[in-house]
Amino acid sequence: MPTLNLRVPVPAQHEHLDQWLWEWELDRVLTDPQEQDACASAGQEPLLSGAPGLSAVEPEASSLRSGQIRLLRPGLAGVMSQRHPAADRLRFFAVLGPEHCPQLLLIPFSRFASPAFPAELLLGREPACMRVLCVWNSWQIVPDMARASWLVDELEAGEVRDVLAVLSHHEHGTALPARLSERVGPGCWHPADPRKMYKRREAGVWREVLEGFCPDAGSLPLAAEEPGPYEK
Amino acid sequence: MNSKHADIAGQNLSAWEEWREVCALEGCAPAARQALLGFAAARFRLYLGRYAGMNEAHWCPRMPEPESCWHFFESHVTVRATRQGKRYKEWLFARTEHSQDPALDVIQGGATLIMRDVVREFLRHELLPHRVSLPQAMLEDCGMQIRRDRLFAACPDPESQAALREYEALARDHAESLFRDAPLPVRVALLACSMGLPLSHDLVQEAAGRRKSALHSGFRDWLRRMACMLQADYRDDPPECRLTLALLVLDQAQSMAGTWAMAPATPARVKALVAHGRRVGSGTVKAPCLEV
Repeated sequence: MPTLNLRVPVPAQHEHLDQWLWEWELDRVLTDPQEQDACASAGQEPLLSGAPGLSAVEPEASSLRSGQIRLLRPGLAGVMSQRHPAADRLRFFAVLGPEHCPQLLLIPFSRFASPAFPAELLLGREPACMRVLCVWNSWQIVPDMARASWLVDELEAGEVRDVLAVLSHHEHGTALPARLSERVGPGCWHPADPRKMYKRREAGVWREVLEGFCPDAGSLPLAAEEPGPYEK
Repeated sequence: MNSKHADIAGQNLSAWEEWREVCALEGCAPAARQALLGFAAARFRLYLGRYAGMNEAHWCPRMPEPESCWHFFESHVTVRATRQGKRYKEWLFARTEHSQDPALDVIQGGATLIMRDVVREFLRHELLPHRVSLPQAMLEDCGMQIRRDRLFAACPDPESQAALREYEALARDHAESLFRDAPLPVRVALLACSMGLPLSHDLVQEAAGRRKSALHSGFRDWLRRMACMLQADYRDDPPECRLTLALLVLDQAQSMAGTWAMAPATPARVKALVAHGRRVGSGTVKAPCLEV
């Protein structure tokens, strides 16, 4: 077999994964599927027959700008399912715009407080719901997302710089600055690693959200497509 | 709904609306404060009890005071102490737009979903100093579990792309050969693993036509065969390279199982597993250990 260089996770990455696995299992313990059905479907059914509720557009929501942190509104994404992800959890995302990268990107925040992958960046913000940015789950943003979300905060310049470094590492394989290696998760390699399930689910959630805005969204690409079976 | 219950529901809804308008709970009238504190404590207790029930052997933190429950709730989702930084309030109420369900149910349903994350974060914060390692305990419960250190093993360096492509090509060849000869129960086991379903799940046993012990045993044998094949073919290579290849073979075989499950000739009971499994897949780690 050819020589294969192996990358050993740094201790901080071990720690992140340890904590992430803890949170993942705990999340399963606390989640009763039936309860989730009941909670998540509340308020959803009428959306199947009604027009998207765009009447409550806020003035500030009219423009998407790079560096914004926004909260997805429930009940605005065109075609709704019974358990639309916009209504089953608070979904925060960051916007990176043309001044920072070639395309307008949506980058979701993780619901967990520890980074799971090399392309998840620990920002370290105080609210638990916006500690980690899932750079691997970046999507090309659609303009209607402005109307379907609220502006809640802004990324700081240093945070933007760090996110771009991780994005570039993930997309183009550029070297990750040493200062960030302790703020990202380790690689995901084992076929039975629960992070694979998490990744499939989270990508599916945002695909569903964005498909609600695009009539022809069958081939919506991740901003950085999966690098095949092997994950960096 | 009788009039008494309707009155209570109306009061509780008023409490949420009042809280939406004022900046913080402290600014609400005593009745509204009581209602919201009661809600927060009840939901917190629900989730804490769920954790305690699942982990009787572990230390469980004490139930916080209602005021603390509410504080955890608000601080979990408050970005800044401004109206803009508290958009989660709008999120809770926006869930009621166009809804035919009672507004109180919809608002409290949303708040309950948030509270689940709040309690998870509370437990994380409280338990980590005690080094309670829940995942390991749960992994050990699985019987056929992934070895935890495998998740922490070194990964191929992304710069070794060329070498990796060769490994993937080798893995594909081995996986095709192994999958071609794999009996239906093994294919179902691979499918179940890829969906995060335990082999003990009724749907999995039904699709495989085997009870869980036979299914486990057959799957183990198949994995052992794979390990022996790789050991024989690559005996001069370092163990970590063999492990890398084995993981890739397993990954490929799982993908093949997914393709096979959707093929026209595949038994309907397997297709039923795919249809149902998408909804119930738990993500539990239940793949067997690999020793190559």
